[in-house]
Amino acid sequence: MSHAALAPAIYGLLAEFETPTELVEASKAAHAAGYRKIDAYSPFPIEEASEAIGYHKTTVPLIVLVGGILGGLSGFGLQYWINVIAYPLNIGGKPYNSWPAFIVPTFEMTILFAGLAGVLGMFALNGLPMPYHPLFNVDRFSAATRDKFFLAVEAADPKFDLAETHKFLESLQPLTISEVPH
Amino acid sequence: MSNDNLQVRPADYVIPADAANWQKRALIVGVVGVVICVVGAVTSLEQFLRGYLIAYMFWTGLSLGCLGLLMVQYLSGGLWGLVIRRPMEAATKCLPLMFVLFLPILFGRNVLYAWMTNATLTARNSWYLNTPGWIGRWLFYFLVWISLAYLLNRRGDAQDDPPNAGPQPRFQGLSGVGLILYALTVSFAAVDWIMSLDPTWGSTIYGLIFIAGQGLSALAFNVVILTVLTRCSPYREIIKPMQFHDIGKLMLAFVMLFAYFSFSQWLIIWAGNLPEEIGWFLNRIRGGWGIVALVIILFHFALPFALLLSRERKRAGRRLIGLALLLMFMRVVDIYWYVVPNFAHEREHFYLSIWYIVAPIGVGGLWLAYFFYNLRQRPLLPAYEPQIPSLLHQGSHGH
Repeated sequence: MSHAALAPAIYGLLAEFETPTELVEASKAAHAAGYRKIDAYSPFPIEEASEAIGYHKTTVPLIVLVGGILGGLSGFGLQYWINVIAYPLNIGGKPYNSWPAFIVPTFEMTILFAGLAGVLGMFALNGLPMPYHPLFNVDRFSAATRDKFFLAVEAADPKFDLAETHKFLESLQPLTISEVPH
Repeated sequence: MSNDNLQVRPADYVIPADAANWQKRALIVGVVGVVICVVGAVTSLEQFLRGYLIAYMFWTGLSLGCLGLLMVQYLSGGLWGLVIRRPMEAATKCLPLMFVLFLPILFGRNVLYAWMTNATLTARNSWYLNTPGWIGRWLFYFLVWISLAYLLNRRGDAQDDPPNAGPQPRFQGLSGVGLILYALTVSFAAVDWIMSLDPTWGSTIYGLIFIAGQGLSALAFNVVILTVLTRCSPYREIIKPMQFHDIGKLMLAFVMLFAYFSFSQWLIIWAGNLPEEIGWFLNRIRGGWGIVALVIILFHFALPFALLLSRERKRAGRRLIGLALLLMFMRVVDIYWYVVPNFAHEREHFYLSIWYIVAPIGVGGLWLAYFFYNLRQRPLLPAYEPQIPSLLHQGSHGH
């Protein structure tokens, strides 16, 4: 009732933990309890935490692969077009399409495009650049870059209920629980 | 983080009892192989010696690749090397065996190397290519390799003594000097034993191709050994997907390195198109040998490269072992493609003698039997290596 009306008004709940171990345990518990729109924040990468919140796969490798293939094809295509179609030159009696000579730039273009696709794809998938994020409305959250570990449960989660979720997070014994306003 | 459970001892890492069976089986293959090889040496000495040279280069390369990787790991650190350190040390201990197994090549040198008996072939380079120099360099290479293997293994043994016995042995200086010596000796050995089969042709990247090949076969061999060892205690509990992932990544790097060196050799010679150089490639493309070249491009580079891009494939030994065995096989094929088209009759048409297959299997049996014998002498993990706690705690969080 009042909760249901209130729920969309906030971004979610944020629980603060002292150690990475507690964060991983809490993430596992939240995932086991059926929460899916959860996220873990820590000063350094914790592979177990990503696994605990059910974050198994990203599409970055696929983007890198596609970028690499496009780079390779465009690199080879450019050289083929120049040497065979646009400006054919007889060099040492070799055929116009002297593919061995094209391999090195093709390789470099593959690496360049794959690298750029990786960086840009990572930015796009992360929604970056992101000038505003509700979590920064919580003052304590700045410790996430220093020495504290946070678990956020978003209000957009179907299972989210302000009172119920609050109670659930309390059972994980965090240092603090904060409501995150939009 | 508590360190109570980190009181490990070498005795905790005893090699599985099955290894004795593996050793016995390898020895049977080796002895049977050698007996058949003796028949080959009597009935068809030329072809047997060529097959034996292929076998010798591959299995010696495996020992040497492990020697190189061992020193790289001592210099760079990294948890990937800890779980394969003892297998790599056991492989380097096979070098005295390979020294002895050089004898058929030594005694068959006049059959194998045309320049030994025909002085006109070395009119310009006899200052390097002469029989006393060739024998002297063989002795020198093995002096360097066996000394390095001996010193590294002795320090590895010293580390297994209880930690209060003294300061940790130092590996870095030895490995730094050792790697330089390794690169030089392997380059010259490749020139002496394979490139000189055609004494008028030269390639400056030749040695590097063999170094990359040795690293690749050593990594592939370690994947196989690690997968087999992970089926039993104690590795079943210790090995995490991370170890296979790291070795898989290195294997991908070496697949690319091998392709890069091999392609560089091809690109420069193709671009120059000089009569005294291009013949080497023409002999290896024409007369059916082009099929072998294509197989090498596809299965030594393209397929392993594409498969090793996958993260999931690199993280499980059972998904890597097939690829590792393929790469070891392709190393033999590559050496075969380097060796056999040197000979006038064989370069006319694609040629495969039974001895090119029997000799690698026979020598491999002996090598593996001695490898398992060496491996069984010591615990599987260097228990007092300072990085062992991080290895055992991998998978638990925090730093």
